[in-house]
Formats: sequence, structure tokens, C-alpha cells
Amino acid sequence: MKIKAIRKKRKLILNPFVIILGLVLLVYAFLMLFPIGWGIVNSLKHILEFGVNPDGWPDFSLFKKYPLSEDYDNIFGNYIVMFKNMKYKRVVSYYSGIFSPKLVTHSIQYDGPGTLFVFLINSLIIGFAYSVIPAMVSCLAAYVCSQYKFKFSIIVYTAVLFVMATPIVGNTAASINLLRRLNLYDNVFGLFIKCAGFYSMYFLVFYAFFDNMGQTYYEAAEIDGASQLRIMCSIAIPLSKTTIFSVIMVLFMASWNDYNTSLLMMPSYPTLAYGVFDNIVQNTQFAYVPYQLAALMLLALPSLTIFLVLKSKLMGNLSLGGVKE
Amino acid sequence: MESMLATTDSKLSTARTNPPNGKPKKLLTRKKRRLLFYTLFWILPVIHFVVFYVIVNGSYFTMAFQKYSYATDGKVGYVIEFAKFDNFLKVIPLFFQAENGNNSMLVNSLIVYGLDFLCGTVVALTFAFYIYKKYIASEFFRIILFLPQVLSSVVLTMLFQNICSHVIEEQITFPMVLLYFIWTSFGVNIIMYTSAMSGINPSISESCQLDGAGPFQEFWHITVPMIFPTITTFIVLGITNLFTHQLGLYTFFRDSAEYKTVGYYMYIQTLKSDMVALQGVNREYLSYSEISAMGLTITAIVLPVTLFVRRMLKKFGPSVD
Repeated sequence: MKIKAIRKKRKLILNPFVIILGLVLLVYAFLMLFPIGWGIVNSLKHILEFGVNPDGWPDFSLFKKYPLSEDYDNIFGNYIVMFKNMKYKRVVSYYSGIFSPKLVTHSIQYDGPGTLFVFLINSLIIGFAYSVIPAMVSCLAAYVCSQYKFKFSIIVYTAVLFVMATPIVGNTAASINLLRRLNLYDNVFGLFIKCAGFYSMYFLVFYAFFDNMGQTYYEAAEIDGASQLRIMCSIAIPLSKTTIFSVIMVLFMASWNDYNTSLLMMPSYPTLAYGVFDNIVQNTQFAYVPYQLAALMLLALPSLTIFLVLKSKLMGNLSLGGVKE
Repeated sequence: MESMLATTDSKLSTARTNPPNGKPKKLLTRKKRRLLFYTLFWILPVIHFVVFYVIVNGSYFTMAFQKYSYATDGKVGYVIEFAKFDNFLKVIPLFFQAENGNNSMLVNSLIVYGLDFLCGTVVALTFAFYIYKKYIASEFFRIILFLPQVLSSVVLTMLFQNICSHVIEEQITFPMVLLYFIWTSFGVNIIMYTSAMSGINPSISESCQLDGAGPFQEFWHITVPMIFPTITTFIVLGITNLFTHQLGLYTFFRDSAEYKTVGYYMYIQTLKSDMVALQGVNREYLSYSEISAMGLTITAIVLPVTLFVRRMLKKFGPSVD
């Protein structure tokens, strides 16, 4: 029986369709891993070496032979230089207010070793706004919509389906204009408010979750005298914590990697992704490729670490569309 | 069933009058308490929806027919005029405009959509099937295929650019940007397809193998029809992204790319301009009203196409039978 099963498996593996797919995937894996490996290796190279040896292993002795500064005498020299020379400068100017508009102008400037921490804190704040807030709001709205069978719940569900099914392109300008008028543009509080919408794809994910669960738990709690708020906070949220966690992690990683928000909505709050991009493009002290690669590797490290630690939770808990019965 | 409901209702009613912890009787009935909580809960979400969806999209629509100019006579703010269809007449030719012998942005967006369909649907489905069937190193490939989602586009674009210039010594041309797009086009779609495939009843797959079908037959005749609702979702999402895809052009070229897609063009205009069109170096950007007119034109094309494709896929999609 066992031999039969092994033969069957071998037969499947030797199928041309499977072999071709496996080879294509192998090539893709190489093409994905090679640039990352190349980036790590070259971020450790002396800037004088990179020009003559871009695809070989680094010669670490060059750091001792040619220490360009007191920080540049060890293999992490590029990382230290990058850390010490990060900068950010921006002048923000726009009209604010609904009835009597005022011209708001301010400039922002960061320079030196603290800049990277500012980028990091901004990434965490914006990541929180784009992950925890929408995940929690969608979860609570989906719970109330699925468990309270009033007519308004049907209207809410239909409205979310309508929003999801209607592709509206190019309304960012109108959105920025509204935020400016309401004094919510380039403002952390404004970003938190903007992100607190329930009408997203994740509302449908949570709705399906609560709808499948039924009402037994909530009714039992009500018999025990729990208030509606208590049922929501002490039963509904803990029951859905795995899905909430997955949604938060997916949204947080997307936000961590995104630099569009900083550019468009929060110019005074550069994130790590935008800060690194801005320095590579504009900072003359980042002209050497090994410095740029060190900054890129630093940006990649947190999301890569979170992903490798939580990969099963991140890749296993989300589905969309369903399967035919 | 009815007796069970009656018991629950009586228990809830008893709980209302005689709570187990001996607290005094509640003033409101269960239905009223639920209604009060429900009403209070929805106040803020509804206000949010009205402000950030209804008003934003309402102003997006009206802005497309307005023209803003700076107030004069020492006043601050804007003067707004009704622009009729002037904004539309200015932006529609831009879709077809080809500069320096390159394709127009409409053609480039359609090329990107074709590639997106090929990689994001056809190739991604076959890769997802490989992972679902747990062939050799499938877990490893699953992680690798999710990496473009994990790494920032800044990291991927800069690595691609540096490898092109220092290892293979190639300029970043439009075909190279398309190669970059293929390289980074996997991620969530693979995970969603694999999740959907895992929902297929294993006995269907086993009976298919017993009937002598190979992996390709199983993929084509069983797996694809079974997960067709998920495939439909991604095809429809692909159409909605047709005119929003930037192709990473901003990270490659900032605001001076020779090759443009509609998504990239609109992003640059939104980024660089304001309510009144701003002057750049050797160019003038569109005003927010003109960008809204451009967006509205695209929405007017994409909305019926999306609905039509969804209906067609439902009607003529593969049958499980």
C-alpha cells in the first residue's frame, strides 16, 4: 500500500506540467533572492570597492586600510554613515478652513542621527492609523451589523457592497481638499479620523465571521446580565482576535512599506519608507550606492522579520470570494 | 426549534426582571436596550461615511465642473466659477497623447492590464495550484511568492535599478519596467487562490485522480471551475485597477518618466499641483478640478465595463458539472 502511494506520488511529480511549474518557480525564487542577497552583500562593501567589484564578495580589510572617517573603519561603516547623515526638509503650504480660508505655511527640518528615529516613530503612528483603527472599526461595525437584525443593518451591508463594487478613480484631490478645509490635513488626529471608516473589504471578512458564529454566546451573556457594550467588548472582540490580528498585520505591513501617504496627506510626518526614498533621491551624502543599499536593507529588515516570525498567521487566515459547492 | 426560542426568550425576559447578581430591575426592555445601543453605535460611523465618502465623492463630482482661481483685491482664498465641460475637453486628449515616440498613457495602461491579467491570474493560478498540491518545496515557494508583498516597493525598485545598472548594465526602459512589474506582481493573489483551493473537498480531487486525470486535467477541469468565484473577484479588481496602476514609475523616475500610465500621470498631478494649476519646471500641472474631470472620465468608462465583465463571468464562467 505504502509502495503504491509512493509510486503514485512519484508519477505525479514526474508529470511534465509539474516539472515545468517547479522549474519556473525555482527560477523565480532565484530572481527574488539574488537581489536581496546582492543588496546585503553590497551594503557591507567599502565605497571604494563597490565601483570595481559590484558582483563579488566584500573585502572587509579595506575598512581598516582606508578608514574615510572615524565611523568608517568597520564592516558596518555604511550603516553608521547612513544613520548619522539622514535628513528631511519640507515646506508645507495650503489654504485651510471652510468659510474664511487661511493660508497655512510651515517648514519642517530634521538632520542628524535622531532623524531615523523620527522616521521610525512616524511609521509606527501612520501604521497604527492604517491598521489598528480600520481593523477595529470594521470588526465592531460588522459585529453590530450581523448580530442586530434591524432594517438599517441591511442598508449598511448594501452600502458597503456598493462602495466595494463601485470603482471611483481620481478622488484623492477631492479628499485632500476636504481634509485641508476641515483642518485635518497633515495632522495625526485628522489621519486617525480619516482612517476610522468601516466601509472596507475587511468589513465583509468580519461580517462573514460573525454571521457564521450565530447568537448563542451573546444570548448566554445577556441571560447572565451583561450589557450590550460588555457583550461587544468581552465576547465579540476576544472571539474574533485571530482574524483581527491577521487583518492588522496585513494592513500594518502594507502601511509600513507605503510612502504615498507621507507624500500626499502627511508631508510633515515622513515615514521610514519615504524618508529613505527621499534621502536616496535628494541627499548628496547618499550618492554612493553602498550607503543607499544600507538604508534599503534597514527599511526591509523589520517587515522581513515580522513576516518570517508570523508567516503562518499572515498567510493562513484570509480568504476572499469562496468556493463553489 | 420554536420551543427552544421560547425558552431562550423566557430566560432573557427573566434575566431582565430578576438579574442573577441581585441588581435592581433594568428600566428598559431587552429590545429597547438593544435599539438604544444600536442607535448610539451607528452615529459616528454614519457621520464618517457621509463626510469621507458621500461628501468627498460629491465634491469630486462637482469639482470636475468647476474652475478655481486665486481671489484678488486683497482677499484670501479662491474664486470658483462654473467651468461647464472645459475641464473634460482639456483632459480627454491627454489619454491619447504620445510624446517622443513613446506610447500614449492609455496604451501603456492597457499593456499593464494585459500583463497584470497574465501574471496575476493565469500564472498566479498555476503557482497557487503547485502550492495547493504540496509538490516539492511548495512551502518555500509560498514564502518566496509572498515576498513582493512584504518588501517595500522602494526596496524592490531600488534593488532592481541598481542590479540593472551595475550587474547586467542595462538602462531602465519601458520593457525593463514591465519586467519589474512581472517580478513583483505576485503576493496576496497567490495566498487567496491557495486558500480558495484548500476549500475544495479532497474527495473530488481523489476521485479525479482515480479516473486517471493528470495534474493539468485536475487543474483545468476541477480546480479552476471550483474556485471561479475567487478568480472572478480578482479579474474584476484588475479592471478597477486598470487606470490606477503606477507601475513603480514614480520610484524609478520621480516626476520625469518618459513612459507614463494613467495611474502614474494622475498621481504626479495630484502630488505636484493644487486647486489652481501650478507651474513646474518647463511644464504646467493640472489643477485639482482637471484631475477630478480626468478621474470622472475614467470612472465613467470603468464602472460599466466592471459590471459587464462581472455579469459575463457569472453567465459564461466554467461550470463545475
